[in-house]
Amino acid sequence: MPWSPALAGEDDGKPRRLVSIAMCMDELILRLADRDAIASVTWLSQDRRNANMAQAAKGLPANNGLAEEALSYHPDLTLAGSFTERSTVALLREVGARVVEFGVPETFDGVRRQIREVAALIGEPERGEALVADIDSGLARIPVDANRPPLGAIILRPNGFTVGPGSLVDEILRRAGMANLAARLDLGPYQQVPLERLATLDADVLIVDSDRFAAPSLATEALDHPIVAALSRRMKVVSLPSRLWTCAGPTLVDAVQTLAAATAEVRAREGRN
Amino acid sequence: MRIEAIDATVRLGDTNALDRVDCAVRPGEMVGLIGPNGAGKTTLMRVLAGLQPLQSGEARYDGRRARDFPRRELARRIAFLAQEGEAAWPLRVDRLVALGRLPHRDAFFGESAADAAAVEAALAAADVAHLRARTLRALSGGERARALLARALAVQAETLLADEPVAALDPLHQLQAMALLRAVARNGAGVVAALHDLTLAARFCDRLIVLAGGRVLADGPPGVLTDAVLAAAYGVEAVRGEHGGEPFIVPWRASAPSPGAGETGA
Amino acid sequence: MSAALIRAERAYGPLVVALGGLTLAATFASLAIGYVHLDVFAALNDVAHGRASLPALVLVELRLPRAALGCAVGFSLGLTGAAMQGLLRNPLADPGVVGVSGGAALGAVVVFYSGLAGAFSLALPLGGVAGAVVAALALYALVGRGAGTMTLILAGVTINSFAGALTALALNLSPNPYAAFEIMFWLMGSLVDRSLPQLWLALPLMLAGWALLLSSAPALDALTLGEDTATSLGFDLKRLRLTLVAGSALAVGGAVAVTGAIGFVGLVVPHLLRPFVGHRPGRLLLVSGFGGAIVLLGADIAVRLLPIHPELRLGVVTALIGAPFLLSLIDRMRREA
Repeated sequence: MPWSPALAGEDDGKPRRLVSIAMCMDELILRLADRDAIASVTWLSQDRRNANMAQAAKGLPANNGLAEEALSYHPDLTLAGSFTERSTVALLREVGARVVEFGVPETFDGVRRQIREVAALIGEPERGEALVADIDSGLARIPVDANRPPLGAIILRPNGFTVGPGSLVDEILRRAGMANLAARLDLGPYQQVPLERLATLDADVLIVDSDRFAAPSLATEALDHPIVAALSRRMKVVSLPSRLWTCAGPTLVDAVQTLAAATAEVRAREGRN
Repeated sequence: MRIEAIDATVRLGDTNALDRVDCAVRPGEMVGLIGPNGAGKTTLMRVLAGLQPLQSGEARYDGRRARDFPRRELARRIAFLAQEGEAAWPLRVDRLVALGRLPHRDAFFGESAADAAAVEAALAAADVAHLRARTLRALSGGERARALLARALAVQAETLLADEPVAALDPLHQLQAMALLRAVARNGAGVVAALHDLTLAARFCDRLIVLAGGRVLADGPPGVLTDAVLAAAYGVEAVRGEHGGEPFIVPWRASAPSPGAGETGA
Repeated sequence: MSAALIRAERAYGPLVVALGGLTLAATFASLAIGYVHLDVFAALNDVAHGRASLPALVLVELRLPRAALGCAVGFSLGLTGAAMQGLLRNPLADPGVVGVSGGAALGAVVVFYSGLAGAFSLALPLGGVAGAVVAALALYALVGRGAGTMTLILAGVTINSFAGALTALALNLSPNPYAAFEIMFWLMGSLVDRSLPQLWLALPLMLAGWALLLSSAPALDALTLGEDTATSLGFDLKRLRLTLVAGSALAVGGAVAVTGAIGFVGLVVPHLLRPFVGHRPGRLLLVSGFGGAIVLLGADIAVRLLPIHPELRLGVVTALIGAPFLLSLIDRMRREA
């Protein structure tokens, strides 16, 4: 049966069958839209370990990001991310579905912009404003000590990847009183760093991505290398799940809070010595 | 050491390679094992060497079974020379011959003076001492056969079982090898050699065992090789004679097919 | 005894010592080379005095396991290759070519991704050993006694294909999203960021394997003349096969479980060293072990010095050298046949 855009039933202009095929979009619509306006979210957002809104996502139909699946829910709006398969997005557009893509914001301003845009798209602008206000007030509560030089920090992700300069993470670190030492390693496009180089950067803080899955993999085992435990005796090691800062949303505040607390601890220790 | 095969039956595929064979070899005697291709000579040699599982019957060594001996003891006391000797790796001839000392050597210790002497003696006896530094592949067929014979001699075993040791050799070396084997037997060892050449067998062996179709046709001094036995075993007629007191037997032509059953005895 | 033979006999000792010395030197070089400049002597000094400085940390936790595993795994691969060639009387046998490494990788993958290794860490190398045993038994079943080169290679291809496919399947079945991309580690091998616990897991099994394999030296010498002659020289062939299967499985299984399958070392090294030991399979064992260690450490140093990012997998380097080598070997054997 051919899918037809005419099936969209919009009485007040608000989309009533939202489908998200990207995890960050899942999170936003779970926060901003009415539950009965959501037709489907990706299966990733239902994993308790790695999704911020897993509880809310439970019970909703899950998709694997495939065009066929998305169409089977007869969406009047499909939200995708810049990392969604290009062919999937192209296919959806070809059959006339309404697809809007959002990339990963690189600044807090970008985060605010994205929240507002998505809120407008789904017809809930006030909720978008409220969410932005939440984030701003959360950030405002975190003390800033602009006089002290930032602590040097480096991030360790699965497979020995780090996060390079020029992303949202940089701003998060800055807001928490840290500077991303990845700028010192001339990483080029590839961001995998041998543990040796990570260790000898002599950072003040090592941030370890603590997202875990039920099943093991070599990539996540790399985070448990004995040298990380050994380094924890020389520097502050902070466990930070990457899901907190991967997507635009209020969890960014949690990330900044955790890191700011670490900064405070290190400063206090230094003060004592 | 006295080696016996008692009522030995070996089944290979769907035929009996050996059918209730009894034979024995005693120290100090040289036995020639003769018979046509496929008669079971190699199988019998392997039975005597303890390499061939039997369907029925057994092999005995000084009256005992092989498993009553420690492996290495039997290896020291019985030397086996396989029919088609091949070496998987291009070893030097002297190293190849030295492999014959493995049953005597302690695994990881070097060779003793006795080992070295045995190797030298074997090289000389088989007339390959001048080839010691060559590899097998660089030798002619005859030289290769002598090198492998030297390996078997190096074991200095009480019994030497040689499966067609002279088939590839030229006449001079055939004679030398047979004389060598006889000397080994005279020195107290028991020697069994599977042979194709009837004259060599008759001249050099103390005893002949004639095999055909997995059965023993005759077992005794070279005189047992009568025309009847020859015809039954090989299907040939031979020209016989004598020179210097030693017999020669030259296969001359195929024997006439027997007109009825039972004319040729066996 | 002839002068030439005495010279050849006497050359073995110095050869072993020379190769052993080179192995130690290569291990030390591996300690000294890495992604950051490290004063090894200063770091060693720190370690000796119990100072937990950064260089000491990097040396002990990162460089030491990498160098030690490079040495041990290389030794295992060279030694196992020489042993398999001695048993199968075929210069093309190598744990990678005949499928034993592939089987070990499958065993390790099943144990690791199912979570069993998390519960019981020794399960990982034991899984590798089990996989290697199954592959070796499959090889023996397919190839039988004294099989020709064609049969051997076909059997190896079969086992490798099957093991590789099952490995990829196991990885895809894992719910961890990273797992599916890790096939390259298991099929190509790597020494990157190995840890001391991994070294302690693999080393005892490898040592046991080495002992079994080295003990088979006289039997392999005897086997040069064929199975009948070897038996008549006092060797129990059934026991020999068991010893070699067990030894290979332990040495290779333990290694592959922590570094993935690195190929061709066991093929190239024995071939290069064979003329130096007079083609004697028994003597080839120990020198191939050292040779394998030197080659693998050399390759590991090369991948760290080459300006290629991400770091080339070790198996890629050994394959780049080994595959053309294998081709030339096959070609030569074909021409001789």
